[in-house]
Amino acid sequence: MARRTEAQAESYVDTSAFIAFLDRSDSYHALYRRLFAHPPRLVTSGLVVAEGHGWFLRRYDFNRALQFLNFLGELPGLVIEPFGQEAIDPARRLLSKFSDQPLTLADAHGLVVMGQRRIRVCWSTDRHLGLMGVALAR
Amino acid sequence: MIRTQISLDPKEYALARREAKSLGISVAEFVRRAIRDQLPANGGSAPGAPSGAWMRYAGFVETGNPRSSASVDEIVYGSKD
Repeated sequence: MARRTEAQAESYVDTSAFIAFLDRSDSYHALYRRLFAHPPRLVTSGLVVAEGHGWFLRRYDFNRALQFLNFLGELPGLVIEPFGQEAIDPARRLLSKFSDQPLTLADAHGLVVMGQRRIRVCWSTDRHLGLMGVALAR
Repeated sequence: MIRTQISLDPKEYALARREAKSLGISVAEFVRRAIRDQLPANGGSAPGAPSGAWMRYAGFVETGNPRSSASVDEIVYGSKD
């Protein structure tokens, strides 16, 4: 029961939500600015961190990518779930199950994490993260 | 709340009204949000203003692409969603 109460207070954050918050041009920026202003306990995947870092490297440069990591470091209470050996099988099963969808490994790990932690709310502008029935903040 | 009055250009008012309607909020709330967006994140001494240090990163880049968050895969993996 304690676990359930804890899970209800958590939201999963996808790469797209981080970008929507950090890029003022994004059409979801105002929404995510409000959400991040008073965040609940946030959970994300180590693969999302890598994706976000990669996005800044590709779109901008090393320094902006480093600023992204600084931002994550300052975000209070952010839980980063590692993608280890035990995550490979469940992620692979999801990728097989939804093989008709352009899911990335980071998406699949996010779905696994949400399932394992019983997270019901996902901060994402990507509809694929809603495949398992969680509510998307978009 | 403090009640105030502002004058808007008719065209901008029409655009604000349309945008507010699409968001399901009043024009007044739309204007309040626009003001919040322009104020410094930590600037505030305003009651209830977010003061978290992380908020200074809000909008720290400006790609010019309103679909920026929807095209992450395209940028990172080189494929289209």
